[in-house]
Amino acid sequence: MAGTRFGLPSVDLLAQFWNQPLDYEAPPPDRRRPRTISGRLLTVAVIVVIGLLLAVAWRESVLSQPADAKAREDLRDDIAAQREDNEVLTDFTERLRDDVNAMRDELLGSQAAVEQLHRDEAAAGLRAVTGDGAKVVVANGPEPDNTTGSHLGEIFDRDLHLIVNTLWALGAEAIAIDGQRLTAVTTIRAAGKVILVDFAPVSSPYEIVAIGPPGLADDFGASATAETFRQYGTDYGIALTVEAVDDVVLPAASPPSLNDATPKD
Amino acid sequence: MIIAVIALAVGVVMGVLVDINVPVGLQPYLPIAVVAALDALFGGVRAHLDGAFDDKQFTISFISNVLVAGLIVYLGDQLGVGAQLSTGVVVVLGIRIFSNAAAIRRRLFSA
Repeated sequence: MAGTRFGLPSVDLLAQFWNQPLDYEAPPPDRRRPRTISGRLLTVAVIVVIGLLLAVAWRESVLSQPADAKAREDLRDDIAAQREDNEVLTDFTERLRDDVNAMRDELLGSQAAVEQLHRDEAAAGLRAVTGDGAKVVVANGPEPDNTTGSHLGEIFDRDLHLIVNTLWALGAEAIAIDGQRLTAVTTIRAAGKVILVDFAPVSSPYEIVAIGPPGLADDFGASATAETFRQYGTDYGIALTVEAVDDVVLPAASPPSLNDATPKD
Repeated sequence: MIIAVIALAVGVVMGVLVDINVPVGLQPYLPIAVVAALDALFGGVRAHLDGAFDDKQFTISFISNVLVAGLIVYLGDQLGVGAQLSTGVVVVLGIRIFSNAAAIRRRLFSA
């Protein structure tokens, strides 16, 4: 009896499985039944069913794979198509907006009024602007080795707030994060694991480009914020680079949606 | 033994040729049924080699194994531990398959 080999009965459950796995232990000779035709047929039927089961299972697992892959592919195509549609529509909107702006400029008549309007738009972030300034790139630190530990080197939305607000404070006139222009009402917030700038997801490394007074890059580099991030760099591996850039173009932000005002007809 | 092999082949050929659609509700039980079927198959071969094969016992043990395994998994699904109980069933039947295969090997090759 193998059960005694491992001592305690509770321990040798596996050993018992191993050594006495059968329903087929030989019955005592006097209880052996002679094989009957119907018994044999029953056995054959069961074996046919077993074969059938194996074949069906094989078919299920082999044949369902292409279907899964196909569904995935269809979804991917759908996403790509929708994205393309989106781009076309965005281009269209931009073109229409340009048309509208041109017509408006024409109606305004006086050159001075048009220029004033353009200046106001640029200040509000609704018109693409060009100029010299600073580029701040900040990137997540390396992922922790153990997946359970929290990722201390991760950039949060409030880190971007800090950088952006410092740039504003240093006199920046226009700022864009990863090509998303900031206006007075732009949100920078975390949604789960991603940071959204006005609902457009941005990802590490975050590239913050600001147009502002000469020496903006140096000023930012000397600011308390940059010092803080350098400390983060030593502690958590967050990478911060600041450089001066010339002749950068920042795109226009999309016009804010009207919440309280309604267009007059 | 030869009849059994032929029967198995017939079953496999039938399963491949005939397009049998497994209802979605039964699909989670298919792997369990397969493992139970393999268990019955190896058990039957071992019993045959031991000269203790019994038609009635084979039939009933196969059907009851499949039913009990399915019932355990169903119960687990209802209790929210379906995956764990599936694992349990597969482990138990897997051990039986292994030890039956080992017994068959010992008998066939005396090793």
